[in-house]
Amino acid sequence: MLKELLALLELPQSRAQLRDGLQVDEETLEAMLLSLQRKGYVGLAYSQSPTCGTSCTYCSLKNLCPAAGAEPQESKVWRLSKKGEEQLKKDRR
Amino acid sequence: MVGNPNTGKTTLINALAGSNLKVGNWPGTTVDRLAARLRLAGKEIELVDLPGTYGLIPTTPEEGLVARELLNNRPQTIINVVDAGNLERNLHLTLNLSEMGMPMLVALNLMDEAEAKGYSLDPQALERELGVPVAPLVASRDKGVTALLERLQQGVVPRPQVKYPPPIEKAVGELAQQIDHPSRRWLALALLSGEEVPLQLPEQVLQSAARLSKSLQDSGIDAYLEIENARFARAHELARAVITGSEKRLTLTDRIDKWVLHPLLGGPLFLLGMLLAFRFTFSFSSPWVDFIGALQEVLAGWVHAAHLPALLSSFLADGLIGGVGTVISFAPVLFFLYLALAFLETSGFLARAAFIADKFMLLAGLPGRAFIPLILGFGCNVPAVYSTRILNGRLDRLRVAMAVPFMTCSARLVVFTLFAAVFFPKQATWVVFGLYLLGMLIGLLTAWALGRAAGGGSSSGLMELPPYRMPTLRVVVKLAWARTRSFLQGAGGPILLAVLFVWMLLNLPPGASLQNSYYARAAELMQPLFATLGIHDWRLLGALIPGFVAKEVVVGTLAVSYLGSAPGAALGFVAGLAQIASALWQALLGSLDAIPALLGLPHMASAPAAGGDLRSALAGSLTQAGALSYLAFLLLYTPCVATLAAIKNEFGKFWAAFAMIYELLVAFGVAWGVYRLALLFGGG
Repeated sequence: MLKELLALLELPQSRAQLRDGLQVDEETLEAMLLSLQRKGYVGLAYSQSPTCGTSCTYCSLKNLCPAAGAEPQESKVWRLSKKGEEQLKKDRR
Repeated sequence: MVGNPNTGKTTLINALAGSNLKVGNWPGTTVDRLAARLRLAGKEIELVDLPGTYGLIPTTPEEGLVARELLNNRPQTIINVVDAGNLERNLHLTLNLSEMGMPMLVALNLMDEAEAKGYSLDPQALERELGVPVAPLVASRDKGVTALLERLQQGVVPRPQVKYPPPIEKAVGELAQQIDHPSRRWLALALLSGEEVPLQLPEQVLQSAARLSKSLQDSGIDAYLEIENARFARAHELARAVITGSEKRLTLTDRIDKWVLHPLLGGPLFLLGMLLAFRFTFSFSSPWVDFIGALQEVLAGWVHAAHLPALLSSFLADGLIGGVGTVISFAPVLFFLYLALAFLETSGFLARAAFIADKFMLLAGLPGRAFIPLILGFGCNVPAVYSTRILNGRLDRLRVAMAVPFMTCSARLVVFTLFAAVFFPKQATWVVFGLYLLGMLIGLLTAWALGRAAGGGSSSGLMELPPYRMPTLRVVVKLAWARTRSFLQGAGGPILLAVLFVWMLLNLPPGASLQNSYYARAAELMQPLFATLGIHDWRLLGALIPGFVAKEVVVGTLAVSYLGSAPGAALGFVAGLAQIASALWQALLGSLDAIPALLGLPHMASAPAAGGDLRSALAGSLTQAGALSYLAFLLLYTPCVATLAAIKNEFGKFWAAFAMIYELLVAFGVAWGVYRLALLFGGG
């Protein structure tokens, strides 16, 4: 299950698509992501990015952009970490 | 009592204990310790409520407390309180507990909430699978609580639940043999996963664990991932066996997303959405662009009627009104474009559009989140270059920054709109849309080519998509107006300076005709080169020079150089007012006409007709093929000064110079290709 999730995270996915892909509910998906995050396979994108430094006032994407707020509760963007990418390559081999 | 947070453990212990409940603190902590002493079948027992936890490996003080308590003060029975409505997630903890080697039973609480969510559960199936008693209940209503009490002493050690890959099982077996504790299997699994356990273990055990972990790692096995993977898989399997029916209740957002995010339909729907946004923009802005053009003509007419000195009259009518005025006449285009974008944004569609675009980015080998700076580039390239900071790694940032200037910023839209109206009145929307796509394509190719040098791409992962909402008119108009105002304020200064500078060049040396001006001489130097692109008129070439300062200046410059050569007619005050009133009436009627034009599917709306005089003047200067090559060149050539400054700030002088030269070459090459292609299709 976690390995399937890692593989799915290689491409951009919405939560609904991940839920459908894994056939799990929202809470389980969250638990799986946290499990992967705990050991550094995935990370929140904003935690690795400095803020954009430009005004977000007129930006159409500020609600999506991980750099638009320090606490993007409404817009978590997860990404595979280097470790996650390496694990995925290993699994494929 | 052990369970995830919010599974109703406190309610359950209240229901079980009644007035015997004692509230204290766990030693050395401020965490509440709820306990109750009960007499059951002649025996006194103590019920202890452990803090809510998702796992037994400590990530918070509360979680650390649960594992420590279970390992060091072994209970007679674990009551695992499970939320029936979130079964799968809760079962992950159940499986952890099942490996502790302790008698347990499951209190399947919140059965009512599970039912409300549309689930039908079979508690017997869970009992069969786990091999421990399972008591369904609704603790808040005392339902099933007595049955739970009756089964309290029937708790047994569950049968093994999770099957790990053979190398893991072998290592667990070897390590568990060395651990003298009833929870040896769980401890061995935790140690192999690289976790710290809240129990004092002999040094020899820790060394064996490290050796076995390393051996697994050397054979390419990530113990943590394998163990967690197997637990989640088993929890999934158990949940499927227990949930006998689920009525999935789709929200409106889920239903719309089925189409919008569809793997095949998503892309075309995204393109259709953007196309409709352009169509809306042109349908509704067209009458108001005409109105402002008419207003401008009247103002110029009044200036000519004032019998001022010739130079001053030319400066006011051609420089100020003709130049800046023409650019301002495109404010309606921007306003309606921003209105459409604000609607898409606040409705939640833009998030989906970005999501779909994200996939295209990945196809092009770009980091997934590159769509943010690229889409920002459609507004203005400058913040888009800065926003590449959201990407990791200098190379990824550079690749995207080099692609950003190819995105059609709103300043270029002004020029595209003018030319599309003049040369392609029936296909204006398609031409502008095609230019947007061409810019994106060249940008993506640039980033892809740069990426090939270093290889490798990034991943994007998971994106939260907001639910769809019906935007309020107030919010949409406010956003659109703020953005239009911001654009006009930002563009006003540079436009004024650049246009006035060009007007000066056009009128120097004093007394010289327009064709003998400094401006004409500079532009004529470029003529031989641009003749291969089908562009011969020095005025068109001249406009590219100030376009380097700011793209929006191109239209103003064209207005000065074309209209400046033909003196405008004087206009009386009353006649002017009548002309304004008539133009206003036409604009109102035109807006009403735009509604059916927007809804009429077979036809695309025409682009607004830019200032009438300029339109007619331009019409004779280029063929359709030449117009296309001019537009392609304008789309792709050297980024404006502000964008170059942003690239220099972010990546240094070398890359700013590279961007300037590279984009100039690309622009020339693509414009040449477009011209040749257009000639083949009869655009000459």
